[in-house]
Amino acid sequence: MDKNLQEQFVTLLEENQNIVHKVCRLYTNNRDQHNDLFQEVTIQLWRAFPKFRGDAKFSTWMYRVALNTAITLYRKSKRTVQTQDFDNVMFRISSEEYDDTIEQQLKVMYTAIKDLNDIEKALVFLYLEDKNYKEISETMGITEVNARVKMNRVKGKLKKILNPS
Amino acid sequence: MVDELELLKKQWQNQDATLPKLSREDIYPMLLKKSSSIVKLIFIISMIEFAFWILISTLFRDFKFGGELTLESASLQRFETTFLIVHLFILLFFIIKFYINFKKITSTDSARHLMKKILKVRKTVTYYIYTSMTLFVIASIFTTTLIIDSNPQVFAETNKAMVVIITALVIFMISCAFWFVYSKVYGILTKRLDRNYKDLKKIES
Repeated sequence: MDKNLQEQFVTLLEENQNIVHKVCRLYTNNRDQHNDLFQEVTIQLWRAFPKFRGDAKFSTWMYRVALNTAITLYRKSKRTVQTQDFDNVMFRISSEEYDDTIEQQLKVMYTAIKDLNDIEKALVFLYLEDKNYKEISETMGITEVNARVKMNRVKGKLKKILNPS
Repeated sequence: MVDELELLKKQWQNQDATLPKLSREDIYPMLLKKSSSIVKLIFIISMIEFAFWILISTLFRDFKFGGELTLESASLQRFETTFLIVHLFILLFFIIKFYINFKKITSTDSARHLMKKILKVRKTVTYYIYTSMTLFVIASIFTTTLIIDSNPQVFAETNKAMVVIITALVIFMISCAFWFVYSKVYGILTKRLDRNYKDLKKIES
C-alpha cells in the first residue's frame, strides 16, 4: 500500500480512535480482550480503507466496520478472564452534573446494557452515540421502522432489568 | 426510565477522558499484524476440507484390496476414471462458487448482509461435503458391484446383494461419523454468528 494512504489512514484513526475504544469497551470485559478487538478492528479498517471514498464521513464508516468486527468477525481469545475493569474506570470519573446516586444508577444501567445480546447492544450503542434511526437502520441492515420498534423494546427490557418489581 | 437513558447518553458522551489514547507509533505496527477473524478461520478450514476430499478421491482410486481379487478389470478402471472426473468437476464448481461468495464478504456492509454473506460461504462448503459424501456412497456401491462381477469365483458362495449393502452401509456410517465431528466443530465456531443473525432476522420478521 502506498505511504500516503498509510499516513492518511493513521491520522484519521488516531483522530477517531474513541469510536473504536467505545465499541471495545461495550463488547469486551478486560484489557486483553479490549486490545485484541482494537487490533482486529484496525486491521479490518485498514483493509477496507482503499475503498473508502470520502463521500461518507470517516467516523460514520468507522462505526459500521467497528461494529461488524465486534459482532461478527472477532473471535474472543481464550486466555482472557471476565472482569468489570472498564466499567469501574468509566464510572470513577464523576461529572459535576450528577450526584452520587445518579452515578450509581448509571453504573447499574451500564451493567444492564452489557447484559443485552450483541445486536441489542449495538442498537443501544448507536443510540448513545446520538445516531438517528436512518443511520442505525443502515448500519444494522434493518428497516428504519423495525429499528425504532426494536429500540423501544430494548428500552423496555432495560426497564425490566433495572426495576424487576 | 427514558430519563435514565438520556442521562446515560450524556455520561456516555463525556467519557472520552477515560478512554485509552493511542499514538501514531502505537497504530503503525497494528497495520502489519495478521487478522484472526472468523472469516479467515472459515477460509483455512474450508481449504482443508477441499484438500481432504481431493485426498480421499485419490486414495479411493489407488486403493487396492489385495488378496486374490481381480481389480484391474476394464469396467472398474472406466468407472474409477469417470468418478475422478465427476468429482473434479464438482470440486471445481464448488471452489469457484466458494471463491465468488468469499470475495463478496466486506466489513463495510451492513451487519445483516455481512452475516448473510459469511453464512452463504459456509453453506457452499457444507453442500460440497454433502455432495462428496453422497458421491462416495454411490461410488462404493458401484465399485463393490464391479469387483464382484470381475471375481465370480471368489463370490460364488456369497450373497452379492448383502456384500453391496454392507459396503454401502459402512461407507455411509463413516460419512455420518465424519459429518457429526464436522457439524460439532462448526457448531462451536459459528454459534455466535448464527445466534446474532437469527436475532437480526427476528427484528425484521
